[in-house]
Amino acid sequence: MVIAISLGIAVALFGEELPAPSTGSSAHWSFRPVADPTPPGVAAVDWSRSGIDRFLAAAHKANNIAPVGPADRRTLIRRAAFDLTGLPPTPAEADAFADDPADDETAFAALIDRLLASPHYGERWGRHWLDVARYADTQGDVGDFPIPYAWRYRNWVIDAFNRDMPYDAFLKRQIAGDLMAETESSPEAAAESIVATGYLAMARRFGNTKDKDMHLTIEDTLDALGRGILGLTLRCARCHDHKFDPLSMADYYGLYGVFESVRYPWMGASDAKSPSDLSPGMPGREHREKVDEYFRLITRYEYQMNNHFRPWLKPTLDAYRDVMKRMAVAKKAGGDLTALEKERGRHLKFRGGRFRELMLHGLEWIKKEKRRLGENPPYEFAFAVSEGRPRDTRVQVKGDPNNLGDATPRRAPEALGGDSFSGSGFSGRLELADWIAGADNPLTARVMVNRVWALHFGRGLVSSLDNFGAQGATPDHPELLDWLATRFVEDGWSMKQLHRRIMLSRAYRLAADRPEANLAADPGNRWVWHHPRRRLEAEAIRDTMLFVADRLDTRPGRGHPFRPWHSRRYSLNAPFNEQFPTLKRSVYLMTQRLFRHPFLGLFDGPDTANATAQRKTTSNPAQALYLMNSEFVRTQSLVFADRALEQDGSPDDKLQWIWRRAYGRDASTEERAFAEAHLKAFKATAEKRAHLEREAWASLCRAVLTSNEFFHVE
Amino acid sequence: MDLSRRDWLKTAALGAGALAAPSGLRADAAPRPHFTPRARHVIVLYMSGGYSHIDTFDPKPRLIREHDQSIGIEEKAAVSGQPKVERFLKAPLWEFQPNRHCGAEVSDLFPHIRGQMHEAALIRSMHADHRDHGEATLQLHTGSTGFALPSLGAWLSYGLGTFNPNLPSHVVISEHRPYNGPQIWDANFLPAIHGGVQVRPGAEPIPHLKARQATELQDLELDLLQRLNRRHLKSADNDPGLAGRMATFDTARGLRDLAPKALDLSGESRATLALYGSRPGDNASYAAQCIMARRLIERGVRFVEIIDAVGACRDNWDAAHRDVGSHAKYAKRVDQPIAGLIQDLKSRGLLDETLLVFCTEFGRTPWAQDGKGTKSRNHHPSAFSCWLAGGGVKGGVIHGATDDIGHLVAEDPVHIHDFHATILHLMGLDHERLTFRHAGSDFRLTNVFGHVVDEIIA
Repeated sequence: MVIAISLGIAVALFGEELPAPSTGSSAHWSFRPVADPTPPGVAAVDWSRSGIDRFLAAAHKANNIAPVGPADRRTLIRRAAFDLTGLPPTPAEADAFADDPADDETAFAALIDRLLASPHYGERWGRHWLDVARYADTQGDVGDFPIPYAWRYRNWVIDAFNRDMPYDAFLKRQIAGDLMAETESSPEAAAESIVATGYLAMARRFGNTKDKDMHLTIEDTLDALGRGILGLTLRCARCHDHKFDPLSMADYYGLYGVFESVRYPWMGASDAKSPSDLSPGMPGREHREKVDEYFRLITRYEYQMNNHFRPWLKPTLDAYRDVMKRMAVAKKAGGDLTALEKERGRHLKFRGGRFRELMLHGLEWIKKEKRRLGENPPYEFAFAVSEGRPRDTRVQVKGDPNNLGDATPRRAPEALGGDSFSGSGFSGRLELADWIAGADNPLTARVMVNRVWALHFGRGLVSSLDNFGAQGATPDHPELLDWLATRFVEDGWSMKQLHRRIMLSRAYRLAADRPEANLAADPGNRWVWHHPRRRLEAEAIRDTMLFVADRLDTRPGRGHPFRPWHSRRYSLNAPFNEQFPTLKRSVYLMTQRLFRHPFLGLFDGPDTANATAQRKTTSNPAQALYLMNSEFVRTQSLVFADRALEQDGSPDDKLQWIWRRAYGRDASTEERAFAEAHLKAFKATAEKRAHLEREAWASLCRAVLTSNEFFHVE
Repeated sequence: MDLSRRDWLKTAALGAGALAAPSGLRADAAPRPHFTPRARHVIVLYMSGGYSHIDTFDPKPRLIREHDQSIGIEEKAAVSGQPKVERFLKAPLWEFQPNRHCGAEVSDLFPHIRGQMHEAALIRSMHADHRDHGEATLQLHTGSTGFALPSLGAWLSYGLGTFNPNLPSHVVISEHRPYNGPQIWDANFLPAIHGGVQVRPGAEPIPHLKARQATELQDLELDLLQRLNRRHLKSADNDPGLAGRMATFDTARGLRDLAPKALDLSGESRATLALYGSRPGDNASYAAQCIMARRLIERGVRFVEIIDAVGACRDNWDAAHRDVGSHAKYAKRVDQPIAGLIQDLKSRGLLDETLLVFCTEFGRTPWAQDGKGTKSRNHHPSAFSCWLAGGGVKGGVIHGATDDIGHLVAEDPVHIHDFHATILHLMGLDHERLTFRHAGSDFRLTNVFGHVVDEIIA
């Protein structure tokens, strides 16, 4: 049987049909150093002001395509607000921007600064990163054990964006924050660095044991790191050398060894339901040892609780009880106890003494003791990784962890320099982090600026966001990509500066118009001749529905109301499954790996099990049914209607209020006629006369909240 | 052909799936099979928990002769952390009889199904890769034991499209949450429209199907919605993405009106109900679920699966640390309804175009789980039995064999990947060509494996 391979992910197929990989490995564009090309000279004044525009204007000219004109201010503020905060502007904000007497560029620059300073910026862009980090509040094993500490990593990411933490520092802490904690400036900063490694700790768990499928958890780590940060499908080299990229199995296991040297924390597994290897959340060996002892004890009790009823244990328990009885009798009679003591000692040592407490104190004592430990944790734990036993690993032949081949030193892939990670006496994460976040790594900055570009424009400069290998797309704008990547590093890896640079281009401010000729020549908008209309992401849809009805709780979220681990047990037969409704922003919703959130799952929300390259957008009847008939949309429609009816003025004023909140503009004469006709027809048709006015307006509001204009940004 | 088909599939993924075109266009845009299909619909009858092959479809006289005799200690502990167990053979609890027409032997657990075995190809050499329910159930449904991947039904929907745009192409009738939950009918990275729609027999069989207001009022509201949308569409240069989203509301309205009828059994004759073992007013029993499956495929649904479990995960065919005698309860529940389904489909001329798949995630050990004379049989992925019937399947044949105790496959092994390849083949799809690009790889249901079992194809 070929179990090992079928456990893994599909191997790249269609090998025969595709061109062979280039043999000169370093010849592939993304493996070459990032260049710093000079933007070409451009005649058109409008397109000559920013480097981005000069590259794009040259592309327009070369491809004989004329870009559309700029978007109007109301379109622009809606676009920028959704892009940077995931929320629409309020009517007052839209008016202020539309009426700003400053020239377009000055007004827009001020708007961008205001949006970047909003705490909602971090919530929006933190969420984008959480897609890459395959964030979830559960482990993904068969019981889907909840991770009550995961939110601290989530909030760390959000804060990092809000503080504009340089991207290189942001990456380093996620890979090696626990090792950097010792040298952080304050205990708070040290604790945060440890929490940041939640990125690694979050790797998906499999099956029903803690140890059996660790090779899959490490594969998940490498996949997230590879596709998410480096744009490499490292996972393809698990069972054989990569078919298309210069990545060998030795390269894969060179990185694998780093993570085999790491201790991953656990909240439990089906066959060992208590946590282990959680981090004390502060640096220092003494804390680590204390925590280890704590979990060793809990694990020991847990094992006895799990096995106390086994048929193979029964004879020993019976024999122990019997010898205790005989000892009592002998004691009473004043006889010699030596032989009996010896016999008793032998039973206590059964299976390495693993049932000692069960015999000495009984099951109830063990349960009580475990609960006592659970209720009194010695530290405020973090779901973070820590150092294990540093070691080089051996290649797993055909990806089978039971079939070990040659030893492989820990190191970077050969084609990317092959830097050694083995020498430090540690796992090598610090060296790995330095290599990944180094200014001369040809992939890291390119991949990130491309991601940011794609999130602003709907398409990357390289359209395969997570694959910069030979199987990925060829860059549409290679020079612009390198120019941006160079500026990004030059700007100290500042994310906010990158947003400014991109958004202040003329290209970003184009309208969404779709002239036939351009559509025919370049339907995918490769040459950036307009700004494509996009459907809102699941989170933005939900948040905006709550926002326009004035129900959104804009305060940051914290942890979820999980029951404490020691009072619940999860397994294949009874996996964890909850929702924890809240009115906070969607980024704060509890998200599981085994169960999709009913709203986020339906509207193409994040894939919590894999690093997501780019959200897909689907429209299907199940979504329509939800919008028509769900309690959630009904509630928002009713509240939205109530708010509208509270407004002063005529029915027409109330109508305008709805339009301005939902769409950021006034209703047209035609739309007012539609709405009035609907209210009239609704009231004439309804048989139930109670709350007629409210129901009619709620129906109107639901049509608005589910309409195409509400669901899209352009 | 290959390349154009791949492009075609991409178009289909966007056209039929992601941005459903206005309903009229959708049938035209539906993808085509690779070659002439032998069946147009699939009904999967999945017995959750793992029925014992040696107590049902794979008679082993040696187990009766050598009941309670040891064949030695297991090589590796079945459960890590526990001692190895000595294997004492355990005789089947039920007698076996042959089918009158083809002679296939089936135990007294399934007298009705036995009567229809001449319509079915019985595979006695199934094997899978994992001994735990979660992983094995995932593999039976998605081909993968570890990562959740698109399910068989999602692949079929993606590869073949639907006959009826007003109903989902992929329906799963499941009263309870099975192992792995909705992952086993999920579209995963395929367009979401191909994911299974769960039907729970009872008051609200499909989520959010019922209008919370009078239908006339909802129709007024939908009219307003489409007016607003049409106006917006005009100002947006007829962006097809917007048009596609508008079409989904028409489909949803169709679903709201048609789905309840598809699941409403009040029009079924008493004779039909009796054939399945149902009765008037019953809309929840396994028999009722089989009738619903027939009604759904009659209305053009491509893929229907019925997941059999009486309760949540524990109340099913699992017989580990549990008397194998519990099989009787589950067999009684499904036996007559399934035999009734075969006969009903046949008399309506639908059996030729409908592929029936009777399956489970793994078999059970030929030895007692906890030592001599104990009542349980443990999980056993190395050998088990499944059968196919209907569209394109050779009736009355037995394929493959296990050794003389039913421990290992002895002849013509059929792995889950082969089983999937065969189902796709009967539906007109080449499992090696049905692919989807995701996260840097071309994925397929059968990974890099799978051989079509030609011997059971008519």
